[in-house]
Amino acid sequence: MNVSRRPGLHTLALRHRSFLLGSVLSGLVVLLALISLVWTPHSAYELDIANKLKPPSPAHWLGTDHFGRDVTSMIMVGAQNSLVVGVVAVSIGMAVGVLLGLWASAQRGWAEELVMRFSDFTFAFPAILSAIMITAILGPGAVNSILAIGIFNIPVFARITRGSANAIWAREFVLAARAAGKGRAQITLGHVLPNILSAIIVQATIFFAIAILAEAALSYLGLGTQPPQPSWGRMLNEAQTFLYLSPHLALFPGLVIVISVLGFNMLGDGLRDLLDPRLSRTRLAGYSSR
Amino acid sequence: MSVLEVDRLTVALPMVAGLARAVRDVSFRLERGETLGIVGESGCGKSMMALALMGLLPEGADLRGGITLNGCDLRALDEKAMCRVRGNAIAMVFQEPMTSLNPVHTIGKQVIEPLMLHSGLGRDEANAETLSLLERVGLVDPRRFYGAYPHQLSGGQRQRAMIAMALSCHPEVLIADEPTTALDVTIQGQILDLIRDVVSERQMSLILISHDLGVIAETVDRVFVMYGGAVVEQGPTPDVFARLAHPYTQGLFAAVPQVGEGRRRLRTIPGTVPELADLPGGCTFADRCSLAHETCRSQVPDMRSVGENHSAACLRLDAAMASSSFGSRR
Amino acid sequence: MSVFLAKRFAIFVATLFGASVVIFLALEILPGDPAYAILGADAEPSAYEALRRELGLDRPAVDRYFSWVGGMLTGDFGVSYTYSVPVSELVVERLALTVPLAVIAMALTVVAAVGLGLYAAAHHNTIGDWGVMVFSQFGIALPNFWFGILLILFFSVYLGWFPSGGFPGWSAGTWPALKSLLLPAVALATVQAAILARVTRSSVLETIREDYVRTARAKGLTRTATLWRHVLRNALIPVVTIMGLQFANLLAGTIVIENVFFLPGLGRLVFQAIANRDLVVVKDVVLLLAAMVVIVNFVVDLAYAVIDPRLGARDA
Repeated sequence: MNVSRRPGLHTLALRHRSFLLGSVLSGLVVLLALISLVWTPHSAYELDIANKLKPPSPAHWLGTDHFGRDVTSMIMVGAQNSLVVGVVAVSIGMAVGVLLGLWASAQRGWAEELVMRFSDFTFAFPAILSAIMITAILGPGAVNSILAIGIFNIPVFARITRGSANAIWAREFVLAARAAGKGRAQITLGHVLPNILSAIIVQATIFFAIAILAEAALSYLGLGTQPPQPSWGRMLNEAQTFLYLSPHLALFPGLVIVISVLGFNMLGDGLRDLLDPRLSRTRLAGYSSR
Repeated sequence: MSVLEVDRLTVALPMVAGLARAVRDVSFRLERGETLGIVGESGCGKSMMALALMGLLPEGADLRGGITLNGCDLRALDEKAMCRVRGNAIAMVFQEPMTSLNPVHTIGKQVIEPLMLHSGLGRDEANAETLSLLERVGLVDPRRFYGAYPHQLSGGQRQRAMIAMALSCHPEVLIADEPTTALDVTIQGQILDLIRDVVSERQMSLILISHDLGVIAETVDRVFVMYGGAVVEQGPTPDVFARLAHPYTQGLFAAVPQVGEGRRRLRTIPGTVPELADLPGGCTFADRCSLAHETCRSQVPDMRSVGENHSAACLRLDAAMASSSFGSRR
Repeated sequence: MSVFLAKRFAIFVATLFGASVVIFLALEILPGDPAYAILGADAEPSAYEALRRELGLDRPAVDRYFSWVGGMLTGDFGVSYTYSVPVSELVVERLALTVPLAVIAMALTVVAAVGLGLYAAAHHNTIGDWGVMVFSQFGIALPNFWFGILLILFFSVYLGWFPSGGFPGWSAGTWPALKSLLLPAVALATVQAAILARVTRSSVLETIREDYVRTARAKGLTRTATLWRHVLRNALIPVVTIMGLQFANLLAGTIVIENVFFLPGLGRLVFQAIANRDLVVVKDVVLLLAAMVVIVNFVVDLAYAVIDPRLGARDA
């Protein structure tokens, strides 16, 4: 009875505050990156020593850095960098992790045990630590930091996929499919994957935010994106040297990081509420009980 | 003077679907040592009434009417004063012994808690009292149970511990909300016996809430039948069971399997309990009642006397009592 | 109980063993030849041979692994290539900074998070609750190194209350040493506290709905007393799990934060060792950090057994 009264997904989405704000903020960052592909106020690479360390002004909205580069332009180009790292790292983690999780859930037994023990044990290596280990082997650089962040994502995706997939495997329609003689691979692709897709999308959004944070930290340490390619983390690193002279340099890149991470986090939270019927149902029940 | 006086008690709860009138205009007096049963299907507002008496309604609930305990107006008490009444003068046993005990505290720690709060006993005395309480409710070898955690006890044992907890401060009114529903049938009788024994032994007044007519018939002096948040029939237990007046009571009774009647098809009441947020006008039972007339849907029935102290709220009482479709037990 | 602990201990040992194997494979086998990795491809052959002998690379890998792990267990961590001193000396010196830093940060995290979480839950749906949630949402999005920079900007550059970095050493006195650890600890703790406050809040809100909470109120306990005596301990069970995981993040965070504040701790050591390609130090310190994480998670398991009496029964 109540179900029919429940408004459609798009109406709910428009009403959901966190989803709305999240889409606006993350959309803003994506827009910034897209615009920077065709236009930036100044060049993000050109040095102009005569105009170094200038505070914000009409000519340079967010001022200039110690090489006289325009901070606005660097932040815009830096957005490309963060988004690319996020997309590639999450794709790596998601592709491998989801495959592992689906495999574990379809095979059960030793395969599941293996994947689970493996992901248990990777908790001993927090993100930055494993990233540092990987860059220690491969050397610093954008590609290696993407790899590092992606690899760190694998066990988490594997764990979540396996959990949601196991729940689907226990459902009646899967039993029916098995009774009809469908194989594990067929069921996985035809029934399990479509049903856990929303959970994976939610996780991917949240990991996107984590990846942006991790990339910024690695770049700040000098292990990630290398100059002259602008990156938010690296800008903060350089800004720290001039903290007394030009504190504004340390403000804006950090703010953009916060805005993007906040945006994707809220988008993920909102998506979870909207896409995951299990959670929204418990929320409704919780509201009306006692 | 009555121990407990309830005057036109009304509880409304804000829900997603609107305001749910969980309890409507319920009034009664409970004398010392008297036992009152409240029977009805789940969702009829019985539990809300119990929580209203305890002052434990969920936040946002709207409570009207009077509750007087020993001449003291409970509605006028602030939260702090009400805390001194709860577990002390009025105590409650809940339905789910599995989840109503705190899993991380020992039984002893949970039973001693009200004693330490209300009785003014010292640690040692309270300890001794707790042990004797545990023994009284049938947890033999009380020392072992004192140190045990809830997960180490069976459902029946947990309910005994809950009863010990409720008894600890010699309450004048004991409210038992479906105390046996979650238990095995074999244990149910034992727990009911225990409640009956301690109630008479300590001259307590009892409000027993149940959906089970059998439980009510065996345990209480007087019975209230609740439907849609309101009392639809009330009277001394033997009278009510002898002359089922309200069509709803008749329906409830017909739905109970009778021992010794052989294979008979169990009757059920057609339809479902109305949403408390969306009660029909007129008689709330009209939609499910085979005797309903046009007037039943527009006019709210008053309580009418059926016998001494026995009354029912039905516009078609004569037809109901004459109808043989639901005969009485005798 | 003992079955639970034995199982946890087995997992603890297995995880440590697995971690050491992964680190060994990653840092000694994967790069090909560590001697080359350290010296670079254009090294003198004689220097290269000498280093190979010094590192024991002429011995088989399994041999090397066991002598490394055996050494770690007995306190012989090998010799740093760049500093030419025993790694154990370097590590002990750095631990004296990193461990207090992590402990202070963890303490700040727990106090702030549990306090805020409880407050928000107790004042559910009020402006205070909303404030805590907004703080938490922002805190989670905050890069700790940037927050560290902001702290320096405000408390060191603007107010001049705290040093902007560096560590005077414990020999300079407890207060000056603590003072230089305070800002880094706050920078580390804020993000973690934001996450933990959220977990605490939702856990308390969930626990408040439990039947036994209603029982406690029916006994005559006040709201506050119920919160402390019946809700808190049950609500803490998921909080403690997250705390264990957070300690790992915190330790990893020290690598970044020590670089923000120029603190000579374990994190900065491993970072510099990477820059210097001092693989002996990297290997040792990474294992040490991983071991600390695993040990903390083992301690969390022990804490479970204390908080939740059901564990023994469930696992046995």
